[in-house]
Amino acid sequence: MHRLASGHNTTGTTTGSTYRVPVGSSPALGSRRCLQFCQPELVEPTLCASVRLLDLAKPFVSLLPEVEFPYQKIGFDEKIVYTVASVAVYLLASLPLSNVSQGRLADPFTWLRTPFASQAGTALEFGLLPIVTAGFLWQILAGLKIVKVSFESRTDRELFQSWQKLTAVLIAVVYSVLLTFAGYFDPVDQFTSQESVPIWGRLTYIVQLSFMALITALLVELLDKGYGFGPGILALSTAWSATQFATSFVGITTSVTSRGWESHGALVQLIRNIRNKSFGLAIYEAFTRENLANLTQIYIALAALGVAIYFGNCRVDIPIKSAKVRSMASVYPIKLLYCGALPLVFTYAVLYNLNIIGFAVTRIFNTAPFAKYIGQWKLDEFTSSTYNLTCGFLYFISASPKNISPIHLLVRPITFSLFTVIVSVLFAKSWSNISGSSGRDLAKQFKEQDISMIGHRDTAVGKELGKIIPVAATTGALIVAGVTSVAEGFGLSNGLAVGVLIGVLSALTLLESVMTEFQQSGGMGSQFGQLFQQR
Amino acid sequence: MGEFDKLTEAPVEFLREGSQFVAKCTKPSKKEYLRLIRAVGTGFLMMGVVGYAIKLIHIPIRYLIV
Repeated sequence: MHRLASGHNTTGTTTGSTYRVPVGSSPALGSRRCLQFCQPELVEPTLCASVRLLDLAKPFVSLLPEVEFPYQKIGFDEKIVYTVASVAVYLLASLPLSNVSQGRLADPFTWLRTPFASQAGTALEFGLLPIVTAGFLWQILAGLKIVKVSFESRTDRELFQSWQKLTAVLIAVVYSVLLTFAGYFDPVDQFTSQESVPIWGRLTYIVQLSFMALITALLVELLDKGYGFGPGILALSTAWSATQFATSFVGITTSVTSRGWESHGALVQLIRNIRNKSFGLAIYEAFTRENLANLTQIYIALAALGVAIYFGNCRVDIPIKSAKVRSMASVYPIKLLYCGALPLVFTYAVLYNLNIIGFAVTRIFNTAPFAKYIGQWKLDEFTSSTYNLTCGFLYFISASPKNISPIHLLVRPITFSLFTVIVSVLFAKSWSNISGSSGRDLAKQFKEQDISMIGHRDTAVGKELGKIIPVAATTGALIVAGVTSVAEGFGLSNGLAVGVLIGVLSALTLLESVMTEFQQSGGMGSQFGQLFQQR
Repeated sequence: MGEFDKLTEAPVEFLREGSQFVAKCTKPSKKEYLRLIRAVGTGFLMMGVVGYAIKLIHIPIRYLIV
């Protein structure tokens, strides 16, 4: 029973933890996880004469802070406390950067921010982007065997992880240097801004942002290493998008705009409008205001939430039976969204990276002729709190609706959808091989747990799974990307819908790992466990 | 024409396989779906409200440091 149950779990961990670092050397926790990542080709001893790229991280390992594996298995209650605490720390970290006036900053990346839990002008300027990018980068490098990593050896795993952390910090350094020199942190309001920030003031941006990237990486590592639930990135991203959604929906805090004080929550603003203005205008304004969240965005996000829950629960059940326990027949579910939100996260990570680089390069080389082909950003004349992409290559793969030319307006949704769909599907197609969750790997796990598919011989299991999984992964990616194209393509939702979509899909993955943990640890006696029991 | 066929072959095949797979899937029934929506929806919103409450701590902090 237990074996079957743990076999059953691996879907959760496989699909969910796919872009997490394959960690795990604590015997209780890691054994299952590390097995799913090891591939037979990688086990061979790497005694090549040349220096491996992986080993170059050795000098940094002792310098980088690292989260130790837990000495004993962390209980269910403790895991919840750790997860909530890390999320709270992350949420509280969005403090304004020193020397930056957040109100006078124009933000070109609003529509990309929610999934990556970032906020303009704060220490979370890049949010999860550096660690996500580094994670994808190294996993892909290892998957394509450009970097040889033997995930069975503890030192290799540690080196791999140190590289990821190092890369994350490096990305944060590079991007903060780029944005600083591009004048991103300078106030846009010429009338009230004083003298420009001195050079040492600019240096502090870089220090603050790279330090925050390191802290984020450590928070993610803490959750990944078994102190908390699920892949850390997904936990933080879910919490952030939920917070963003709640703020946009029922946020009672206000900020001052050109039209006076306005509530952050669209619903609260509607009530406020009804009390102050004529009825028609009140409703019209609640649906169309641009500087803060409006009800249109809320409805699109709610629709995305519904669709995500529906498709997140579609699956194909494969009948399996255990060779040890004769009478046990069970099903192994293969989810339609096999990779979960990952294809979309990857697509948006690509877009976010391209936009940061593009914005910085076009600003720094603003006289160069190629700059206008990359992208053109114009300050929004009504709110002057955002830059809108109006032209260039990046415009056509963006969800920015601002353009005067009707041809641009017609073409952009199509090119944006095409880009999202193609990148997501291609990613999903190769990801199961890269992350070690392909049919072959799954078949190996089945064999280790003495599970066989009903109606198939043991040798054919890998082939059969290999037929189903890529189809599931790519179709799932197509559906998620399609929903995104519809929700975001018209540029009405401004990133909220995609944030909610990724948030809900990640929440489903997390919920799965919470539930299996609950069942396995016999969480009946725990405090939080009783909450789940009532369901 | 032949070349065009070759070009469209892969996406068409992909869509065909995909729709077959979706048709084969076990989908949540209406009752199940409504239950899921309620559970996940409330959970998500609750999580958001808690996150929002945490972020409210920012107001005094910002007041202090700016």
